[in-house]
Amino acid sequence: MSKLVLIDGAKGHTGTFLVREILKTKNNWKIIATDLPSARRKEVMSKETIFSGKLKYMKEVLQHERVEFIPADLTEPESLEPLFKDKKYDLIFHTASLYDYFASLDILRKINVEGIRNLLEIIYKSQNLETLRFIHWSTCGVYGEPKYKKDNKSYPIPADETTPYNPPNNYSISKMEQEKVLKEYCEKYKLKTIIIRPAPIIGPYQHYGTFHIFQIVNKSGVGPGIHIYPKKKRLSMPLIHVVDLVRAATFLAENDKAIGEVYNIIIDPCFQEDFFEYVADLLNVDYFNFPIWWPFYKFMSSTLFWLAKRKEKKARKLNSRPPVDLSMAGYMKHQYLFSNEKIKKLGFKFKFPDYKSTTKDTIDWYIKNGWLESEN
Amino acid sequence: MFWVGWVNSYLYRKFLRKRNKDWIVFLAVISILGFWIIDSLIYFEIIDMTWLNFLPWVDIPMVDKGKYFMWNSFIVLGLDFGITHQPGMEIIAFFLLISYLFWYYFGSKLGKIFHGYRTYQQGHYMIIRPVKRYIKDREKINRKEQKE
Repeated sequence: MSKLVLIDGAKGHTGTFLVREILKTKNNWKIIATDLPSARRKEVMSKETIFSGKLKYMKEVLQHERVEFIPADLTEPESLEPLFKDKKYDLIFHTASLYDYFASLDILRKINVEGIRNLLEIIYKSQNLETLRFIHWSTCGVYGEPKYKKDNKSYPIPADETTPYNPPNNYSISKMEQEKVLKEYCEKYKLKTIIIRPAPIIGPYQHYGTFHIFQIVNKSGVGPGIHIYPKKKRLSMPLIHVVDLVRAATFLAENDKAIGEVYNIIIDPCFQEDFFEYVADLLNVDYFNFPIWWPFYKFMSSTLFWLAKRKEKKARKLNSRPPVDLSMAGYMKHQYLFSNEKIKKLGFKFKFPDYKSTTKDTIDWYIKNGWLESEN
Repeated sequence: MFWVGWVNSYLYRKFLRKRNKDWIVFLAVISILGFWIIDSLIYFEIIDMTWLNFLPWVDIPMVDKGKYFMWNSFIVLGLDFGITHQPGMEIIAFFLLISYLFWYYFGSKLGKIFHGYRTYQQGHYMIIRPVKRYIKDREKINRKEQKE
């Protein structure tokens, strides 16, 4: 069945992958893609201009004959009008957000929270809410570090979608508020929504977040082989491959049972120590085993977090950014363990279900394309 | 020997690896052999260290001067333990000379962790590296990439 689809944030990492996925698998879907005009994007997305001069997402997909690109700015309601004029969408994928741990809460609120409000307002006025489905991109970050239920051996059980909000940083706060706005509109106007909460995204072209972990391990030359004892305290590594994320989004968009639901999009649970050992192996750097008692690890990670905090403060003074944004360093301290059972039960099959396949595909791409330095 | 290994690992990463990857072996052989030879020459009094007596806190006796210096090398820093040579101490001296291998290895290994190993690596020094230097590096890389 032919469908008219709107994708915002189409010039971003996930956006370009989503456009490509639809072009590849949905032959009769027509895409209206939107994003900020180039100059405005450069201004807002400082992480893109500061962290990498490469920034070559797959923008060529936007030139495909089934794609029409219309620039718009979510913070300016009048700029959204051309997107909706004489168009009735079947699906809207709301991927657009400012994903930046360094940005202030004010700017995050302006873009992420006010942005979705402006978008929903014009949708309500111009679209057929009976047929439209709205797929919203949130984040697992809205859970923060939840209070985990324990199994009979006191190991934490992955948190599911019913876990209450407890956002740990400005970005996650803005995403939580975004969800609340969406739920408000959903109740008021009976808009059919699906909320997806992805874990930190990895995959080709990704240059913020997990890319920094690979870069640090590659540059430091030694994989941090920290083994926490007792084992029940081991920290997990939440990840999702960008290809699986967009596949999950299109899968849910067509599934009637998904309407009104929330889904975590994350690979099967894996531990940080296994992840780092594998990363070191792929990057061909040394890896040493360092067993550590949990209270000592807590102290050590808190010290490193404090160092990262100082660096961020210094970088702000210098009107720049630190090597790693503070919230990323938070992964050293907290347990982020989430369940993907709900989407699996719906019948979704991951192409990259575990940390090994996910990481290998990504690192191989980085090395092949020179995004991670190597001597070969 | 620990610090020699440490410094060598830095020199290797910074200057020598890009020329020849085998420099790590040459450096180790040159350094350890060099120290063994010089130490042996001092021990057997072929090199005379009494010239250090010009320092007011150094007093190397003329009898067993090489052995005295080797057992009390910290005398240069003003720490004279007054260890005198006894029969059988050659065995200990031999093992101490052999331990140079271990100290060198230990220093170079830790140096490798601290400075990195490959030409583009920075080691764990990254953690304490000043933010200003990161910013400069980043600007340099971005300029280069944008040109490309």
